[in-house]
Amino acid sequence: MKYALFSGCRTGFDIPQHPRSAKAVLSRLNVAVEELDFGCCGYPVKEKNLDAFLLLAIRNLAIAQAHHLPVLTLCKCCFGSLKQADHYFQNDSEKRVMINRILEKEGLHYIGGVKIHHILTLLDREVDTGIIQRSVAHPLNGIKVAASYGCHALRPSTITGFDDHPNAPTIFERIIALTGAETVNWSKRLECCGNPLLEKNSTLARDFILKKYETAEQEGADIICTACNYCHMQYEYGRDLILKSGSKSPIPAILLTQLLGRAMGLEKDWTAKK
Amino acid sequence: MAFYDLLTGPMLYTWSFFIALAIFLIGIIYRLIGFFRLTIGPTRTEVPAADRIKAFLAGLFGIIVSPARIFHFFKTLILDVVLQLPLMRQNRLKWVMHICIYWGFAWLFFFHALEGYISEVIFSNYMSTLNPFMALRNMAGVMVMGGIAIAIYRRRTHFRLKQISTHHDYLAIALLALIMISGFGLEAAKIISSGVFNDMVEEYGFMDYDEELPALKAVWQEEYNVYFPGESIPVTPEIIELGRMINEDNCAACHANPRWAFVSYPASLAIKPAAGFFNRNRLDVLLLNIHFLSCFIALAYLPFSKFLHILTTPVSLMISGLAGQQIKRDENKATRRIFDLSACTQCGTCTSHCAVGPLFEIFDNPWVFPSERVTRIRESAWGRPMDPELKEAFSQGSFICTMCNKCSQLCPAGLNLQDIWQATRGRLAEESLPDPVIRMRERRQKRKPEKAGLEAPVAIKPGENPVVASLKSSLQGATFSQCYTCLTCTSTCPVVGVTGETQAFGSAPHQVIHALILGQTDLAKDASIVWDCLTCYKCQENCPQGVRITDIFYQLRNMEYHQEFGI
Repeated sequence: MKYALFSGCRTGFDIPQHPRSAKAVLSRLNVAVEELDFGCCGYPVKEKNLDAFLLLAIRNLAIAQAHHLPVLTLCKCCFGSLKQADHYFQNDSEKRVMINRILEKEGLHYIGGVKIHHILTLLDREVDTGIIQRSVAHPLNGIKVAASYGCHALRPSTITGFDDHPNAPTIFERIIALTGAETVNWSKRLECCGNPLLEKNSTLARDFILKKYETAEQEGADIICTACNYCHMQYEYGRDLILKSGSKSPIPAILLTQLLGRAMGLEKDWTAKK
Repeated sequence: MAFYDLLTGPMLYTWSFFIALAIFLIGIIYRLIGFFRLTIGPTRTEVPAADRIKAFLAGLFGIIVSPARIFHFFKTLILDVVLQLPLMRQNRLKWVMHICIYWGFAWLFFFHALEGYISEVIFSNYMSTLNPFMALRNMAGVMVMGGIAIAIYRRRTHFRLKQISTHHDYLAIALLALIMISGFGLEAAKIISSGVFNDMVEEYGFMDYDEELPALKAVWQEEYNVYFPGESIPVTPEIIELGRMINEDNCAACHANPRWAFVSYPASLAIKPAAGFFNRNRLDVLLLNIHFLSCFIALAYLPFSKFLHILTTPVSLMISGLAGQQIKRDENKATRRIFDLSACTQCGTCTSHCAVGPLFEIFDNPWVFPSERVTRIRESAWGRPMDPELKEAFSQGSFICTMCNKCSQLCPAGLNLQDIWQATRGRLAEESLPDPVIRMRERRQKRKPEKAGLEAPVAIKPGENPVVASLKSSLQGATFSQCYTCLTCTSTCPVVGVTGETQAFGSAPHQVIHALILGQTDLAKDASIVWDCLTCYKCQENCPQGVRITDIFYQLRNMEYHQEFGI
């Protein structure tokens, strides 16, 4: 099976290590990916205009459909956006007509039904667990990981369908466990990272990320694992804040793909920024 | 008479050339000063020009002293600048188009326009009318014309390029086309011209005018396609034989058969029916004037148009090849930003691949397009400020950009657009024009709710409440009336958890939904939770009544944005 890799806007400048490490891991797992000329998932304009959000999101699905490929996102916000837009598209005939009328100007048309995966749902549902376990060359035994879920993939669960138990999900922990690492029972694992308010209410945004770091350390975690571009950037922002204030360095936030890469022997430095 | 000579004689070229050259040089100096003096971005990033010149020289010195960097320098020069490999990897047709214009024009400029300084020095036997120079000149002209044709085709058929092409783009293409067409026309007119033939015979021919000249004319009429108006030249095999001998002695050393001008020669055949008209009116001289003057106009126009990229883009490609998006010194960053703006060719690559470019169809705001922003930022920097209304729209467009860096990665001119966006956003924030959502949030939070006193006129507003109507007509908004105020949303809201405040109105989600039920829509929009919502969807997830609370908050923000921008 081949997937259209949807890296997300933030990976172009801020976290290029995300698609880089994802491609290495997927290639080790024999998952083929193709990079199409995708645009923005729509999430950043959702608060400005719903139609704008839908146009951007559906446009990507139409591009994937033209290539007969399911979409694979690395970012929870991209995943949630595509899922939500697909929901609107299926249930609102006015929007459906409006979007397709615009898309047709550039020769695109969306019918519906393109499969949307996040890398976690892909690893959980589409890739054989045995293959992942066998490719772990350096098990991460003894490392305690706090899995930071990311809101937009998890909720609203009726639309995103990320995990069967939206209030008690285990999908992230299940995948981390395959590397031999241990996961901690973290009270704030389903909480927001605070990134959506970063530029609007920086006090709140700061409080949220500091609480995440604090509680994860209290649970005894050695690292925090992220699988979302925005969450990851927020952890980096929080880390900079902590370091700037002169406090001791918090536990590192590691991208899932770099964690897997490390376990598979593909990643020397799992905090590499490139 | 003297004035007439100035307009028609050889003096025409002298004075028009020097005027064009003067304008060109003044323009270039003006640009150079600007590159080190002007700043885009926040005022705090402004650096004195002297420091910027020093930093630039220091950076240049850094290249010269390192053998590795010199190697890298030449590698970039050949692969990126001369061969344009990045463009080839991106789009084959675009590469063909640009290479045709670029190499063709470069050949014509160095070996034809500057023949006295370059061709004659390099090639001891150089003559513009000899081969391979005559054929190569035609070849170069064909390349440029082919490139122009592809350029026009692309601008007219690519739906995004069509949207952003302006008269500047077409003027540049037209000027280039005029130079090329007048060049071919001139050569064709000279081929058929009896006037040129007579001038040349007078200057270079040594022959008997009674017997040998008619024979030469016969050969040039039959084989070289010259048209002698009003003359009937006898042609027999013997005359041709004699003519060829005279041609060999007098002309052939400097003049190959014009058939080698494989475009101009067929063109001369095409204009032959009108040859009498051409030759009597010396249209070759007219075409010569057009050819020269259009070149001079292009020269004078260069510093003030997209033609400037001929000089600036090779430099921006070198900077990009050597430094990528990393430049150490802040002074050089500032210089690169303003310089990069002048290296943009308006090719539209950024805009056609822009992650949010399709939103032009929704917002009808040209400033969502990176190429349009570059042009406007450049114009602003060089002294055409934006009026407040335009600046507002510009800010709207600028903050729709997601900073995905795709434009910088794809730019065939090697521009570091990411840095330009960062700088302009910083400047906009400084001028109280940050992301509109930030402004809207602040405005709503500062607002004091209007209290209707007893003295207010009592009237029942006709029609529906537009906010309620808009909510009811949408998939997500229509769910608000299902609320039974169980407060589950507020209990699960992490923002309420952090601020710990549920007493003040507007700090809890259920209050907003309740306000909507009561028809207090303005109160709902003022609620701080609408603007401090993290959009984590916990409330919506847990609502037992299926109220799409988060989506309704989104919708309220959308309404505010609509009020601001009309979309």
